[in-house]
Amino acid sequence: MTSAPGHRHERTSTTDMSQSAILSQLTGALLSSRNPDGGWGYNRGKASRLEPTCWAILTLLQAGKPRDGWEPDASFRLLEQWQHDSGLMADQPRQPPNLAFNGLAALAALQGERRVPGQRARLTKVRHALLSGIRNVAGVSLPNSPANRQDNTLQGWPWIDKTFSWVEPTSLCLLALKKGPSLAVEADSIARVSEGERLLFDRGCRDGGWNFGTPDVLGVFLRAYVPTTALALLALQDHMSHPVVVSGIEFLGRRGTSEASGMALGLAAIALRVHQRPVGDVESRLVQVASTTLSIGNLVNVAMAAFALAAGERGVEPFVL
Amino acid sequence: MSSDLTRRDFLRALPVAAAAAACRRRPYREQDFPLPSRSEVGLFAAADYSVDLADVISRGLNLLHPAVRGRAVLLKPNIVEYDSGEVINAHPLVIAGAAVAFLRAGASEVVVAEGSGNRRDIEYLLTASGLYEHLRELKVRFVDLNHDDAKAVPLKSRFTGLNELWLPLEVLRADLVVSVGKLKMHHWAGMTASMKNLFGAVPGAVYGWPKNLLHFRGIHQSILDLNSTIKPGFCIVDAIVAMEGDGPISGRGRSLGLVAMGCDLTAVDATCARIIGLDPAKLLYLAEAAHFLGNADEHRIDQRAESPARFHARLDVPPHLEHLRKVT
Repeated sequence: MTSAPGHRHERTSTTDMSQSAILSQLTGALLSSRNPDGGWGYNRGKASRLEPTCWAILTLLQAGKPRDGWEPDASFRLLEQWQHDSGLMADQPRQPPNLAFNGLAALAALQGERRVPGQRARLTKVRHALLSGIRNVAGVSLPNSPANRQDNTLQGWPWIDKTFSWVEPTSLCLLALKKGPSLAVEADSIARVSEGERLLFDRGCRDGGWNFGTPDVLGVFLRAYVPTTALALLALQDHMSHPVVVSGIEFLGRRGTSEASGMALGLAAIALRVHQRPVGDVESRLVQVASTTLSIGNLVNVAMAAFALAAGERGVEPFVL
Repeated sequence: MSSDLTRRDFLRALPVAAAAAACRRRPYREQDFPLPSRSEVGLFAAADYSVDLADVISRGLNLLHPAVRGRAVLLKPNIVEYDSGEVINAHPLVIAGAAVAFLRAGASEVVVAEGSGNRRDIEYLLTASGLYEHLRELKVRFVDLNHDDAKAVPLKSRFTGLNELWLPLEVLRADLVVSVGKLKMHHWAGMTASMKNLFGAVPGAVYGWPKNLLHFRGIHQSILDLNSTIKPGFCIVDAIVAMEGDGPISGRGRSLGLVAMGCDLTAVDATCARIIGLDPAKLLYLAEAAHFLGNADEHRIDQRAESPARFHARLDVPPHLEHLRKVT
C-alpha cells in the first residue's frame, strides 16, 4: 500500500454492509483511481502498470456496461503502447517483460475481444502477438539438486526471461495459452502447455496446494499459499481428477479463508467457483476484510476482491476454459 | 563449499564478467567507498518484546548519533513470510518502536517499506503479523516496495555483473534508509541480519517472487551490490529472539535478548555473527564488504552499551554451514 493506514479511507464496518454495497465501494475505488492515460497503478496516484491495468479491465468489463466515463478503448490503447516487437508487454522502456502479467494481459485482451464493440480484430491481433511472445520464453532448465526433490529440468514460465520457472507465471501463461486460439493448430503450444502442466504437478506441496514454486528445501516441506494455489488450480482446471489438483482443491476448501486479504480471498473465490465448489465462507470473509483492502489500497487486491464478489451474478468467464 | 573461504574463492564464484573485471581491479570505484577508521556498534538488552522498544532504540540513536533531524527516514524491515508462533520476521513491535524513536529524534517523516521475497500478498502479511494495526495507530505510512514505481539505477559496485537494477522510488527518495533486520541463520547466505535484508528493496513487480535474478547472479554478490548502491545509513537488528537452524523460514526461535544497532552495517553484521558463533571472515559477503563498505575487523569496532559477551550464544547451524563456525 502506498497509503497511510487510516488516513485515506474512512474505516467503515463491513459486517453490517451488504455484499452489493461493498462491491460498489470496491468498484468505485477502482474507477476513481484510473489514470488519465487509461491505466491503473498499483496504488492511487502511481504510474500505470501492466498488472493493475489488466485486473481493472477484467473487473470493469465483468461489471458490464462501462461506467463513470471509463472508456475501455483507452485502456487497451495503453496495452498496445506497452507491446514490444516480441509481442510481450512491459510498462516501462527497458524493463524486462514480466511473463505472469503478460499471461494476464492475454486474458484481458480476450475479454476485450468479447466485450468491447468494434475492437475484436484489433485486440485479437494484440493477443495473438502476446501468445507468440509467451510461447517464445521458457524458464531456465537447471540440473536437479540434492537441496530439494523437484525436477529442475522442467521448463514452465519464469517471471522474467533467463530465470527459473515459478508457479504464478507458469499458471497465468498456461491459462492464456489454453484459452486459445485452438491448441490443435499450434504444435509448439501443445508441447509448452504439456511441460508447464508437468511443472505444476511436480511443484505441488506435500499437504496440498502450491506456494511460489518450491515445495521443499533441504528436507523441510514448505507450506502452500492460498493465492498461488488458486492460480495453479485455474491453470489446471482441465485436469480435475489429477491427484495433485484434487489435493489442491482440498487445500483451498480447508484453508481458503486462512489468508485474510483481497488477493487471497478473491483468487480463492474465483478458483473455487471455476471448480464448482462452495464459495460462501470465502465471500463472507472477503466482505469482512474489504475495508482493510480498500485502506491498504493495492488496486490489484481491490480488483480481485471486486471481481470475486461480482462473480456470483456475472460469472468468471475470463478464467474458465 | 570449501571450509576455508578466501577472497579467491569468492572471486571464483562471481559471474564471469564480474570476475574478469574483479581480477583486473575491484568491481567498484574505491574513491566512492572511503572506509571509516573505526565503527561503533550499539548492543542493547531487551529481554522480550514487552520492553519499551521505542526507548531502547531511542537510546541507540542518542548513543550512535545517525543524522536524523529533518530527514525523511525509510525503515526497511525484514518481512518474509508469516506463520503464527514463528520468528521469521522483524517483530512488529521493533518496527513500531523504531518508527516512534525516529520521529522523536526529529525525522521529518518516517515510512515503513518492504518488498517481501516469497509472498507477494503484503495485505495478508501486514494484517496477519499485526504490523498494520501498529502503523495505523501511529499514522505511519507503509510502502509496498514490490509494487512501488521503480527506476533503473546504475549499480555502485558490479559484483553481480549487472550494470543496473530497478529500485523503488521511495527507497531512492529517502534521506536515510534504515535496515531493520532479523538475526537468523540463512541456509544459503549463512546468516541474515541487516545487509541481506536489502533483498526486500528489489521490486517483485519487476523481478518476480522470489527475486530470482539475484539468486542467479549470486546471493553474496547481490547483497554487496545492493548495499553499495542503496547505502543504508543505519541499521537495527532484532535479535531479541533470533532464529537458529534452517533459517530464514524453517528454523527455531532462540532468545538472545539483544537489539543491535549502528551506522556501519558491515560492523553490526560482523558483531552479530561473532555473537552467534560464526566467523565473519567466512561469510563471503561480509568478508568482501570489509574491503569497501565497512569494518568487520573487531579491532576496528567500538562496542557501545552492553558487551558482546553478555549475548554470546552458539546458535545451531544447518550441517552444510558448519564450516562458518568461529574457531574457539
